[in-house]
Amino acid sequence: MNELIDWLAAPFRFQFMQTALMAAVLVGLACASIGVYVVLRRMAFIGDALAHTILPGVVIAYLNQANLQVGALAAGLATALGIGWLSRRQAIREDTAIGVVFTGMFAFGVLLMSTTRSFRDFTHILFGNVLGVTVSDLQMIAVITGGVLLTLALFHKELELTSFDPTHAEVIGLRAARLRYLLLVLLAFTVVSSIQLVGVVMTTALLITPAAAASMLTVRLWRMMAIAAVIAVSSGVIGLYASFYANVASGAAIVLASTGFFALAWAFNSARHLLSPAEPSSDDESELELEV
Amino acid sequence: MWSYSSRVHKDPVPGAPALEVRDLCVAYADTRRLVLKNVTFTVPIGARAALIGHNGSGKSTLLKAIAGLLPIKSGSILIYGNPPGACHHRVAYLPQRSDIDWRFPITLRKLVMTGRYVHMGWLRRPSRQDWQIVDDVIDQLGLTDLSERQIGQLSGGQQQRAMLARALAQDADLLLLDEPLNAVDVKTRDVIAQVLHDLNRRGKTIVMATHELSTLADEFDLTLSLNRQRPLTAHPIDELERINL
Repeated sequence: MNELIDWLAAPFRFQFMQTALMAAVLVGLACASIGVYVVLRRMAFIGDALAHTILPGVVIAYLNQANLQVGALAAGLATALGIGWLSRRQAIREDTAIGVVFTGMFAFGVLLMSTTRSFRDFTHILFGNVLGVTVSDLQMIAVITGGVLLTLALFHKELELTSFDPTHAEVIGLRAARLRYLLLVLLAFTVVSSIQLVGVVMTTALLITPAAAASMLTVRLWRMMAIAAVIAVSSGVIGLYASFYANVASGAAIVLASTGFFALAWAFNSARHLLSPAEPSSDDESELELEV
Repeated sequence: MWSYSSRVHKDPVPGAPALEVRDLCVAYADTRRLVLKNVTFTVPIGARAALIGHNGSGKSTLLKAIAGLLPIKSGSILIYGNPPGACHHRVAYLPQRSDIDWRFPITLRKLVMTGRYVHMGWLRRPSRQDWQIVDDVIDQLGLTDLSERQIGQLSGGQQQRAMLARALAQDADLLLLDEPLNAVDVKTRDVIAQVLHDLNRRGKTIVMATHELSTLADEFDLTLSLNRQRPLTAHPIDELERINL
């Protein structure tokens, strides 16, 4: 028993592991809670696009020896607002527009990277490196997570209403498009903090997978966010141990851990449906007298 | 100061009818084809108006325009003397086929509570009084046992009653109902009829699109007949027999 505790505690004697642990917890909380909205509003593709379009911003910041996170944030916010704007004019389908913009931006980032002849410097941007999180990174992650959670809590009822019934929102004078912008901006901040953990290529996984797993386990929004947060944070911790003891890439380990949780949730959900196929889902009495 | 739209609260204009539509023209955004052409009518306060017409005659479009969901091409709409959107809480709208995401994780009780949001605005949470109003209308519509159900686990009729419950929770003065009796079960039909009766007793104004001409005489005070070929006509209900629909 003591050996197990030693095994679990040993990594955190190191300062960088403590920093990494806190980063994993904070990023997990932000990604999981906003991820529930991303899943419910079917914005998964946008989240992915947002993560990828950050690349040129980071590379430009690197080339100019500016703060990488500021570059990421600028690119992320520009994309968030650009996507919001594109989807309002209906000349082209939204997913098509996003696909065009996001691959174009990503390719631009890769092109810029290839001019530096130091491709290796960017692997942690592409695939994440939670063990490389510095204290100043952690401070920024903490501010972003705090801000995202606070904003989600303050505008919860409006975000919820515009997510499931935009027409009623419009009738009472609540502009659904503005809430969408708000969500996109929050998403940009969240993505910037999560690329530290899993990189631009896999950030969507942290947004989508825990929330998608949680959505199969409950039909209550708050519970869904709580379960998603537990899954995201646990995945981060499991990924940390894996990279410490097995010396594997931390970002990939975190993502695979959350994929594992998703598989468990899916299996549990399937088993539950098999055991009770005749769920009294639609109605008890009045369905029978459905009229002509 | 917490209100969702930037417009300030406006009181009804004294002496104004509940709804006054004048020379209204509304076109589809994509084709610019006119759906409503020079529509003019008035609904007095406390009246029950049946909006009738063939499919495609523009009943839904008219209700959406009054609810402030569609831009007006020309003409005017006045609700208690004010333009649409001047006072959002005064108008409740029940769409025919709502674009609600029924799989969204929200309970019936919270769905009905969204009818109170227009009174709360930004940052404010439901008060005990708001919950009381919500539970009362849920009870009135016979949904109390289902109030903690996720909305996708309700039957079609129950969903329709839930939507009506939300419109009632808003405590609006003018209710726009788009074919609420379409394809619902007998129980729902009875409950809705009872609710309409109750609203009328409390002096609320109702404009309801409907197909059911047989029951018009008992339940409505006037009919608004939309027809592509002729301008909209308003008739007292006792003349209904003479209108060639």
